[in-house]
Amino acid sequence: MALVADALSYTYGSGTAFAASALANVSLALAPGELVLVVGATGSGKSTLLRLLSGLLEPDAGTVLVDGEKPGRPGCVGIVFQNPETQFFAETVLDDVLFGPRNLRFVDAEDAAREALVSVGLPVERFGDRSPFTLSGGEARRVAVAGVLAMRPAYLLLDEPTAGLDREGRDAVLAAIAVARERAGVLVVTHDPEQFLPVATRVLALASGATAFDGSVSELLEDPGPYERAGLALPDVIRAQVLARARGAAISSIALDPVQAAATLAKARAVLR
Amino acid sequence: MRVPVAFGQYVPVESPVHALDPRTKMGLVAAFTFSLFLMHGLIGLALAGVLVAAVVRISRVPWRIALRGTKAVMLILIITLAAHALRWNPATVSLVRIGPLAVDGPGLLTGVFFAARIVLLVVGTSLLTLTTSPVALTDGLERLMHPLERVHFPASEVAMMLTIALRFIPTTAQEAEKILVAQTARGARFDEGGPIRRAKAFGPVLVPLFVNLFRRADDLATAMESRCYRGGIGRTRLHESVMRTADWAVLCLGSAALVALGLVL
Repeated sequence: MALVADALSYTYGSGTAFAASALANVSLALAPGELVLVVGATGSGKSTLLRLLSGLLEPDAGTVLVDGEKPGRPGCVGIVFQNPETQFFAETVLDDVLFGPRNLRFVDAEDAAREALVSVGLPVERFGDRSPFTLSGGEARRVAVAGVLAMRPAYLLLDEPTAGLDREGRDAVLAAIAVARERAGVLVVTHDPEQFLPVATRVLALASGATAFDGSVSELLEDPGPYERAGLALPDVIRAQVLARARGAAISSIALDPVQAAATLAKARAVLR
Repeated sequence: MRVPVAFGQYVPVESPVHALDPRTKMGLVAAFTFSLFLMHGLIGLALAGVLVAAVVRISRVPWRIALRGTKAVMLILIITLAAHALRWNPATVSLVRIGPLAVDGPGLLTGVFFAARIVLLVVGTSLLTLTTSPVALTDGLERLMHPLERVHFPASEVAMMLTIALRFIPTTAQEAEKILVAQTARGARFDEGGPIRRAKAFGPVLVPLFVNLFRRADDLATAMESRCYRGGIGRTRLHESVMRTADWAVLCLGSAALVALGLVL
């Protein structure tokens, strides 16, 4: 049971004068309960990868298998695009969240929508009848996530889920992702890995459409060279520890949490003195 | 999933046709259209066809793109041909006859004449937008409308509206495509059921599209005001387009030749 992509390649405008390769020979696997982080600069192929994984695009080469089958089974792979709140159309939050389950002809569509709203921390009693166009940024993003969770996907793909949100909104979305992960494999595309690294099981870094790094978080922290050579910056809290270790500080394990990182660095500083 | 953008999108290559002032091209297109409607024989249309082919060649616009506009009028072409060529149970001799339905020779020729005129009209006029950037096009329009400002016609404002409208066609198409894909990912189907059901299915695409368009229009208006946009009064241009001698020569000679062609053939 996994979402498996093998040697995916994709070129936009293939066969025309405007052909542009977006992805070349990229592989990954996502199992239920996992959280895979996809990072990379703008134009590195992250969004294209999401579209290929969800079956919205067909790869030029390579294969995508969802639990051993070709993607396309409605609702099996849920995808939340960038700024999904710009896709609201219904008069109420509940109607908008119901759109997916109704399309999939769920017998218990309303229950699915209610469950999804609760799982993102927005009780139906308070938010169900509100217009989605009057929500705050964080609330709107959570409603958009709920709209996909209501389809009960086995795999959830999120494109920049916390972009443009304040701390409160970001924390609420992170909590919603944690809940979603209990019953789905989650893949997050982000420019800001700091908030996801502590909970991620695997990191895939893309550079110019190719894999620059693919490994677990601990492997990344052990040897961040390939990641940094791809032009990607580690979060400051991690980079400070990596630099200190390179200068001789005895740091056995790199802390991802800022409080632990401060303690690690203070200890290393005392030893160096 | 692609949202089709209207035909006639600018093809940015360097060519003598691209280098002409937009006013010259607009004048020539007007003369060409006038000439096409003056023509009353296939020889005239054949010559016009050769002329259009030569301009396509000189402009370096790919044939595939130059002819793309004809797809949109394919149904009209078929109806034109059928209306002129097909006869029901005619008493006269026919080219082909299948039961009571017959293809009439002179009718077919008339149909070909009108269909060819439509094709030439579409290809000829789309060459204007294929070889002129939207900004240059609206700049040319503004200059053509400039004399009307004396009678308080808001030429600059109309030109700015046209520029913005043209500028946002691809953006709107991209946005529509994005929403279409997102709603498809939520299980929406746009290819099922009859025409009414299909039209209804587009509600979840059109509502957010229009909401976003209004929001963007509001933001754009605020941004323009904050950058001191106060209409056309006293505005200057970074690039002043000037009608050169070559432009005047091409416009005068070309228009005269086209009208003469229309009158003679």
